[in-house]
Amino acid sequence: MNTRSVTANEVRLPDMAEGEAVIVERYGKPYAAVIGAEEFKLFQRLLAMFGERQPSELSLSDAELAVHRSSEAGEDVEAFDFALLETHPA
Amino acid sequence: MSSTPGIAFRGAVVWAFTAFQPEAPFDLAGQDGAARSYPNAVEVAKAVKNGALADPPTFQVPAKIRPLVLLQDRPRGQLPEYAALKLARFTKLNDAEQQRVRDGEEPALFYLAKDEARYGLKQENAVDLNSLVRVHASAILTKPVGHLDVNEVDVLGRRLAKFLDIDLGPDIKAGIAERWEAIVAAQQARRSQP
Repeated sequence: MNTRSVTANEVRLPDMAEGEAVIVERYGKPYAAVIGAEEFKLFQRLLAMFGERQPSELSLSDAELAVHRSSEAGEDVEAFDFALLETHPA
Repeated sequence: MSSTPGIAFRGAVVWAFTAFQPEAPFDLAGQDGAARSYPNAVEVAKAVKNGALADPPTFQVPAKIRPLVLLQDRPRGQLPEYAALKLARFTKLNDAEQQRVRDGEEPALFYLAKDEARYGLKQENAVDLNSLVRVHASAILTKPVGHLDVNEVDVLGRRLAKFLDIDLGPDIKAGIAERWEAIVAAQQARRSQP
């Protein structure tokens, strides 16, 4: 399952009790479901154990993707200390 | 760095030149010496076929000096390439995200605290599990400046299998089944003894 994070002030969520799932219906049929963060962790664990194997890319968070992208672009990388050429020559 | 037999590089932090991956549009020097840009890989292949580019063509890509963690030893010194993972800073993340990295809650980013004596780095870093590279021994600039310990390297190995989409499940199941059968066989052997 691909997950996408949004901040709480971007959406309007119903009040939810602990352990409760809220089913959002459209035209009388389930359209979406809202579950708590802890229940979502459980769901992910169950998916990992019993679900079909998913490509790992689907599990990457926004933060992991952001760090990877900036790193691959050569940004936000520790600067080389050229003194190492003298102190730690290959 | 030479592939010195007997020296442990598995888990070593070194600095090396790593080339960026060629990506479209591709900049190449033609047979006539003039630089040209090609919009996609197919156009490059066509240019090789018609002789406008050498075979093999030379892609112009920059390289950056950066820290890596080496994943392999080369005890025989026969393989000069090392599999490695890139180290990345994560200062562009917000405070909460940075803390998640430090707390180990972002499994694709293995946290290395600021510990110059241990890792040889002046700042905190993270090993990017999605950054597998092969680096030639001659592109490595320094001897190891630091080391991850055995447990840290084992964690990296398991996570790397996951992020390379390598399914270790069948091997694990086979190992469990083999062990289970051995236990059952040993019990049956004991029961059958007079």
